[in-house]
Amino acid sequence: MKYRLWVVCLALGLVSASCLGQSPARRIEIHARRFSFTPAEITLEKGETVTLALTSDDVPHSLLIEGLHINGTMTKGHITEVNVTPEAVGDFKGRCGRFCGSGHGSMLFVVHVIEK
Amino acid sequence: MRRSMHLTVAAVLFPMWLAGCRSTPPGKLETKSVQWAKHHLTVGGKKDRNPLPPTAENIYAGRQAFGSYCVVCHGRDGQNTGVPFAATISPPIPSLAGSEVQSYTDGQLKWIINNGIFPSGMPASKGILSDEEMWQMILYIRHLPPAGSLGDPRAYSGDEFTENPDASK
Repeated sequence: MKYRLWVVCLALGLVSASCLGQSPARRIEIHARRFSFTPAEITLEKGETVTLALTSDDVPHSLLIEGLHINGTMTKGHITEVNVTPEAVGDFKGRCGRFCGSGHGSMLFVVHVIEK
Repeated sequence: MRRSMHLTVAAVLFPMWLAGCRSTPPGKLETKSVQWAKHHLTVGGKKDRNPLPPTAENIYAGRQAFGSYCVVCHGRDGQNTGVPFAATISPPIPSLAGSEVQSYTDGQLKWIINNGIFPSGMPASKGILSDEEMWQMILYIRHLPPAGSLGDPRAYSGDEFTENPDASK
């Protein structure tokens, strides 16, 4: 009986230790508004998993970063969460992927990925 | 003598005044000479190459970009389907599937989308569309669907204000 209790306590301890050891994914909130993103550039570490929280302050937009396989919709009053784990170092260009008006083509975004 | 001269001048000027502001189609000579000038003199970018491959994804993305506002003048199919003024604007809007447009190089089409083209109603899209979208649109223009296969632009459905409650006020 004592032996079983011991095993259970040990297992619980291991689980809680592993949970404490994992820091939650970094979260970056990105707003779109005619005709820019805020922030317009972010820096991530290679291999780091980051959650991008995407939203719009006006009309529907999207954040399209083909090099990172991201195309997240951005609508007002709603947050779209996109997880990204970059596997290569470099600058990845993004843009608005949904036509939003006269300055749509100037809505640019950059993700800098650096070594850990 | 003086009176007859006045009448002659009036007889010449009156029809010109009547016709001067009307939109009339250009003559054959004007069309041919302007097209030659556009292809060989005024439109730049002749040697620029499309950096994007003609994949199904890129052509689809080009169609989506084309749907942003190009459809209002060129139709969904790029062949003026459903565009009510395509033949009456001066100069008339060419079918993008026709030889007049298809004989431009990719670089020239990009230049035209970027800068617009004179004399025509084609506006400049620099800053409105991204470079990538323009190149994707050119892939779509090179792979247009059969005329009429995509229906008419929504803009000409007649229900512009249907869902706008302020329209009735």
